[in-house]
Amino acid sequence: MRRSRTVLIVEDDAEVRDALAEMIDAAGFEVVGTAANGRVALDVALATEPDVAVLDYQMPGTDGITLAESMAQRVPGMQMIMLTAYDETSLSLEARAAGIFAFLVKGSPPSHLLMAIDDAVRRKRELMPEPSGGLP
Amino acid sequence: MAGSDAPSVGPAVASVDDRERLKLALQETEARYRAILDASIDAIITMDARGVIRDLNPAAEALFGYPRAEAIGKTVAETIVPPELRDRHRGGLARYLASGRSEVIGRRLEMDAVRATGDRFPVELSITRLETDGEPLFAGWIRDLTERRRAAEQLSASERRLRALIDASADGLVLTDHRMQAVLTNRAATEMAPADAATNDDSIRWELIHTDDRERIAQEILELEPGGVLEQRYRLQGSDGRYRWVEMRTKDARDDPDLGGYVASVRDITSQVEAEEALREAEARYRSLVEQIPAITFIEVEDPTSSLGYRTVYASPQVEAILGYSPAEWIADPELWGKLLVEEDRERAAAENAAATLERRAFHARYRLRARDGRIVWLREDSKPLLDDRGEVIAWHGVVFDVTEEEAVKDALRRSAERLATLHAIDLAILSGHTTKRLAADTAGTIRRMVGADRVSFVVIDEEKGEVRYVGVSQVAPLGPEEGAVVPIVDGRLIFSGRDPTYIPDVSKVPDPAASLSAAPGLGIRSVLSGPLRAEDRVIGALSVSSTRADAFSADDIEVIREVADQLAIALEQAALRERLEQRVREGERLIEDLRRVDDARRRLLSQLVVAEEKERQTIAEGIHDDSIQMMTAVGIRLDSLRRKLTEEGQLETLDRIADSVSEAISRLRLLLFELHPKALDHGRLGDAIRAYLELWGGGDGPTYALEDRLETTLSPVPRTTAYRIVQEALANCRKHSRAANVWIDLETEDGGVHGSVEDDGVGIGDAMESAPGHIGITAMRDRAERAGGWLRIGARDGGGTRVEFWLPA
Repeated sequence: MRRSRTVLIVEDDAEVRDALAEMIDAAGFEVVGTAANGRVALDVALATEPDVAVLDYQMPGTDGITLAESMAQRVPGMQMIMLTAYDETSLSLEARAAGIFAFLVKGSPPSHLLMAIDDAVRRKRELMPEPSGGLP
Repeated sequence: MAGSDAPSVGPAVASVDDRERLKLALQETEARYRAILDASIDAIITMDARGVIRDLNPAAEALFGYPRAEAIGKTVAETIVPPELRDRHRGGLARYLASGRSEVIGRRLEMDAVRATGDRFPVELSITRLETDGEPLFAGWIRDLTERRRAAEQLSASERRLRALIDASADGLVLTDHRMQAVLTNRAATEMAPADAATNDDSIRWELIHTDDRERIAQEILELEPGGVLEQRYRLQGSDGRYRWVEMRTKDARDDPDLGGYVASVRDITSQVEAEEALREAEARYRSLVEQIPAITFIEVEDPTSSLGYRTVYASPQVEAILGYSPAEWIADPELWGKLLVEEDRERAAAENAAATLERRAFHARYRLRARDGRIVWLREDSKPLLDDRGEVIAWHGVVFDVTEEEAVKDALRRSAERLATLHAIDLAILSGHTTKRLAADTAGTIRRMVGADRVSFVVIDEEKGEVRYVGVSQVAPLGPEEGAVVPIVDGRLIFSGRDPTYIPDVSKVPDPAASLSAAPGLGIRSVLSGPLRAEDRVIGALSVSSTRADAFSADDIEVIREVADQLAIALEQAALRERLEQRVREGERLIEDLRRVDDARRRLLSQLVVAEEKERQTIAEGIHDDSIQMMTAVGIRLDSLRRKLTEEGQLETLDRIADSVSEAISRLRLLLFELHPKALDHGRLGDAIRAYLELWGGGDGPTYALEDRLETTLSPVPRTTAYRIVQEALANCRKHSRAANVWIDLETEDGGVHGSVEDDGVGIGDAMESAPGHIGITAMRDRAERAGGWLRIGARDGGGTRVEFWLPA
């Protein structure tokens, strides 16, 4: 059985969160959870172990990059994509340093995001091949 | 028949016997004559009229060296007459024979003769004519004069020598006869007293003797007895008319058979007399000098009977002037010196005396003698021993100087030095910054000892309170208020007002003493010396010394008090000044502290301002993010979803256009977000923030940007933000006005802060820039820089364009 490509969305704005979830779902990915802040995001990530997490940068409490650092540690293999309004090179470099796979700017065509998620899943599968076989 | 005296017969007939007898008689006579001739010592030569030698005696033979047999038959001329006289001889002979006159016959002549050897020699010659019948015969007696000549010559030479000798004598020598007529004078005598040309006699030229001396000289000579000797000095007039002194020694030699008169030798002693005169004069001058110098000269000789071992044999008159005892008294009493010597000096003087005597060296000592009038006189003696050939002391001669004044000066100097030392100590105390109290305490004791007082007090006047405080007291007994005492000024008259120290030799004699003094006699104080301590024109205190004796202090002490009071016044002033200074310094320090606090507060305020500003921006940015951008993003996403559901071309197109608008809107919002608050600024790198900015605005038609980031440290938020905003403003201006092709941004660490510049090669600022309307930006930039504690300059760039330069402390 082919595993579904799981995505976690971390975004504090409800409108954007919902819109994203709808779009990603419609694109064929499975949205396994959403979070509005870093703490919840971490819990959900640990619980669901998604393939990809889409993170906003500007959030209350922990910012996206710090969250990414802890998630990279706690949920190894999970790929992270940052989606932020802050179009700044330094930020993108920081994101890379934190282990984020892709850095996207809000306002760019949504298809870019979908493609990025797709690339991220593929990457994840490469890094952590699925165990073959079924149930014990 | 032989020997018989037969008479001669006559001529007619002579017997042979008679002829024989005659012949015999003749022979006898001849022989007799011959014997005489032969015996004669004188040479006898017989010569005939032809000048031929007929006979010569043995003496002649010997004398002339011709054997008889050889000589007979030769002429006199060729034998014994010197060649040059031969003609005269022959001529003389001829003349005689002719005239019967001769110059030579019967006379004793002296001439040269010649021996057979050819030697010449002097002879005495006498020629007689012999009476004979027939031809003339001459006999000549010749005596060799060589010896006689030699003797005469020797005598002559001897005489000449003697003459030369007496003429060589510088002294004049005169021999007179018994009547005093000059018989013999040597050259010197003649020169001294030449014979009178007029009279040309040899009498003594009495008139040459000086009038004053003449009678005496003549008298003395006349009184001479035979054998007596007289020495006289008198003045003799020379040929130049001047008088010279002569010394004449006359001997009465009238009874001397060889002399038979007076012998006198005369010496010119003018130079000697002059020398003697000069010597006498020098002696007189020396004597007067010696007797005038203010020193005593003396001569001592050893005298075992004297306790000192010496006795004075000469003392110059000054001894009386200096010590009041005459030279006679000194000579009379050998113990006098010992009696007058001051006891304290005895040991020292005796020791030096003993040492000098023993070592036979010069004696140097200073000692005091009591003069006749009771004065103590300081004397300095330098005496030397006079030694004989064996090194034994013959006498001591010395000079003694009155050095009383000198000693007094030395004493004064000593005391002066002491005083200086004390004042120096006070100065040191002043310099060391001692408090008034300590100073007073330290010096009171020193001053007391220095002037020999029984009490010293040092007071400070407080006019406001009308009090006098005793800040320093040193006393040998309780003679007045103690240290620390405070006494009200009761009497307006202080004994220590005025400029000069006041000295009261005896308080008990003051008719109306000031209140401050009235207590004094009761406590035992008799003399008081006070010096005021003055600062500018006020009396701020006083230094007093007092004694239980009257008249205890000297003029010297008054001076000391004056000086010390002046010094202490200075010290007081200085101490007060110092205290005020210290107070000011403390105040100053508090002030600085306050300023620092204010500055810190200002800085914090500024930080807060900047932070607040940024915070506001950030809030606005967040607002934009959270509200606008998020909203638009959501819209965009939903549009995309919608798009998937639509198929109709027209609808899709419209949707795309809406999507583009939404995208554009989001972009603009993003820009605004950035303008308001770049995220990089939060993360610490100024350079990153500027780079982000440049990325945003770079490319396109705008200028080419170049950033050189040489910052070595991370800046703290306030300067980081301020610097960013300044650069942002500068770049905005550039974009809007400069029309530049290139912009260079430079950042570096400098002086502990950030130094930055933004340069463009555009149109430049122009002077009007500052106040041009709409350019609030620049003022705002400078304002930002200065508020942050830095500075900002705007000017023209070398090569055209604008340069904005700033510095902010980190």
